[in-house]
Amino acid sequence: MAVPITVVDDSKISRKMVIRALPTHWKVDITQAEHGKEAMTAYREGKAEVMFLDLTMPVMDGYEVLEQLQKEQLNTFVIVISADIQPEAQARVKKLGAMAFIKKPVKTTDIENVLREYGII
Amino acid sequence: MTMKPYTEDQNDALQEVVNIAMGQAGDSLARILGNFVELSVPRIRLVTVDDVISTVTGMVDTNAEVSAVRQAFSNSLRGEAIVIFAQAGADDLADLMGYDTDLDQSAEQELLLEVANLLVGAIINGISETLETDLSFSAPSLMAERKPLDQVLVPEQLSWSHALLMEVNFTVEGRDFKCHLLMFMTEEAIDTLRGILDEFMDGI
Repeated sequence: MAVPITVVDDSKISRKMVIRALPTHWKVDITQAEHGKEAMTAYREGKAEVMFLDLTMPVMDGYEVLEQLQKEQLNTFVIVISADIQPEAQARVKKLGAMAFIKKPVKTTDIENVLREYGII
Repeated sequence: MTMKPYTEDQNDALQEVVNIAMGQAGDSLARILGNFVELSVPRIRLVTVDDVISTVTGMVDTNAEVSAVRQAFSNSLRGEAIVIFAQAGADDLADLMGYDTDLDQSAEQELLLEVANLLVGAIINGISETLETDLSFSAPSLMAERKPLDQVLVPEQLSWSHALLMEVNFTVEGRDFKCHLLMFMTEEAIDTLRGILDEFMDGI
């Protein structure tokens, strides 16, 4: 059965880059969200077993999504995909419950490694 | 001027490319300052020689004096990068980098040149790698020292009528340090970049 995943980024090209970098053999049902609020809606509708989350977005940013997910019991596997690659940024999102951090521009091997490490693929 | 040089998709791609390059520049800066660097959302505007001063003062938004360093970039895209340091931030730099805070003038200039070169190098390399296009940059030179912001750019000395301006800024949490990195690209580069962005999008 296909895994429901949500790709959250305000940039269309960036969402496309993430989707193109997903392992080809991984069966997924993809929802796209332009900001955190849309991501939370998708999550509440059960469309985000795995969430690929950008940090800097209008309306509701990635940090706020992580905080909100914690309040709602965090029943999703969040992979942050960010251009801010400082070790401190990585530490901050992991503290907020993100499982992994991948730097932009995202590569297939980076996504594959994370999904393998956690037994998702 | 309200003319738009790029389509919505081209703008989106450019914004993302600058965002990625800024992240790399911010990481380099964080390493030499030993502090977390807050990144801005890149701003991209088309400016004319008549409104460039008001646009830049609106972005940099300081009444204090500033120092500025310029570097040209060339190869597939030609243009100029300018790093503007608010004076308080320039003064804070020595302390952040672990030097004596009462540096003499030439040592302070060296620091500004070094930091500007680090940021411009990282952002130009980031853009070059992401877009898979060749870019190089010149050595940095000091263009203004402790001057009011509106005297840093002199419209009469600009060789273009309109330019694409890309701005990002870097701040250090809880400190005075702040600097703005501006990149100007003129007519020919605006057209060249359009083709490069299309190729980049086709490749994804």
